Amino acid sequence: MQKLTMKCEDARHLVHLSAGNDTFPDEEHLLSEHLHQCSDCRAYHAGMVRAMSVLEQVRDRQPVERPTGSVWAGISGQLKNRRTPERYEPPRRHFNVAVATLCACSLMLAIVTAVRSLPGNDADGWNNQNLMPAMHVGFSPGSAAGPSVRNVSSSGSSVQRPQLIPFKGPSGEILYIDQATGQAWVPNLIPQARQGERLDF
Amino acid sequence: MLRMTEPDANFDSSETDRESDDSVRSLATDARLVDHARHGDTDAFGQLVMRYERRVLKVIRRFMPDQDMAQDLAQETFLKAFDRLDQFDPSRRFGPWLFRIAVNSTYDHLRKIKRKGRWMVFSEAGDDRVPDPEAADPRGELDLSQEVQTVLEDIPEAYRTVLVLRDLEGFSTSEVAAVTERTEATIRWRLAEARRMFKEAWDRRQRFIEEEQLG
Repeated sequence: MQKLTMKCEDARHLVHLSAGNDTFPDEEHLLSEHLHQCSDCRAYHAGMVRAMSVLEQVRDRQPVERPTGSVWAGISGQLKNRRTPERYEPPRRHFNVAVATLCACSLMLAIVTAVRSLPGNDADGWNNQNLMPAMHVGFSPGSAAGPSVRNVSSSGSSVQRPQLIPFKGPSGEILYIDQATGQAWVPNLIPQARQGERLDF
Repeated sequence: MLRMTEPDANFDSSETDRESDDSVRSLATDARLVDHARHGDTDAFGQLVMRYERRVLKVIRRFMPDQDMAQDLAQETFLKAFDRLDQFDPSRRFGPWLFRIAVNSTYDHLRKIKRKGRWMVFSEAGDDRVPDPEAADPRGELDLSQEVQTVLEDIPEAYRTVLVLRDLEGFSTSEVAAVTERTEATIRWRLAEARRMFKEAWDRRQRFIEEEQLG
């Protein structure tokens, strides 16, 4: 059996092109050699020529029934009113406040989440320092200025300043009385500074 | 076998400007007419429309058999071309640029119809035209054209465009490459694939028809 000059797959690619006269002379030569040797590809080529003849029949059949000038007649009025070609302008973009706000909020949330996830910024510490600043109070029962409760949040601004008066209880424990409300404070109940936290008296 | 078309035969002139040789203006090149049209000369643009309108209509009708719709799309094509003249690169040929607008507008329209059709409860009815008894029976020709049209609809757009322009409209591969903005090598490859797809679909359809006829 004679060795094929090219693979059938490659030959069929050329068959598709050859059916419409789109092969180069060297390709046509290779293909004809292959077709001479391969009966399957010969049959395939014949089928392709039949399919192309259908396209050829349809090719010359579609007459344009509109008279020349009909398209121009339809648009000339519109164009003459314009005088000059309208410049192509890309669609205008409007600033969308809602989307911008949403983006800003999302960004802020992302930053807050990122900062919170840093080592040393645990969730409780964040809440205690920022959301409940009054819980971090310094307490000095024996200071000369008298006991006071101060806000030690980052802003440093005072939130409340109850005037506490030390008072010795019946069993010897020290209580503190709020001058304004008369409420008694027991030292144990007052939140203590945690490890490493500075007390601000 | 199909004939090879001469390069640029489709783009540089048409039967219409040969018909109107008496006009000096018809001898003007596309580039000159485009230049005038860019400066607002609608008559110059009119010359371009007259040159290309039949070719554009024919190409559109290969994708959109409805004549009225094809006419509307041809008008839309020229209006778009007029509006975008300032985007046209004068160092290139006007024809491929215009046909590209035509093909893209047609595909856009076909996609719109397809999308609309999905959500429509009732489809639009076709024309109920009474056939002219004097006219020759066009069904034989229509059958073949419609069959080819149906088969072509199964071929992906990128391949269908190449097949229609090359094998039905007779554009050369270089012209198809210019219209689709692809290299000639790509067009040759797509053309081979498109013809393979057409052959397979056509053979399948013929087998199906034969089986139906046999019962």
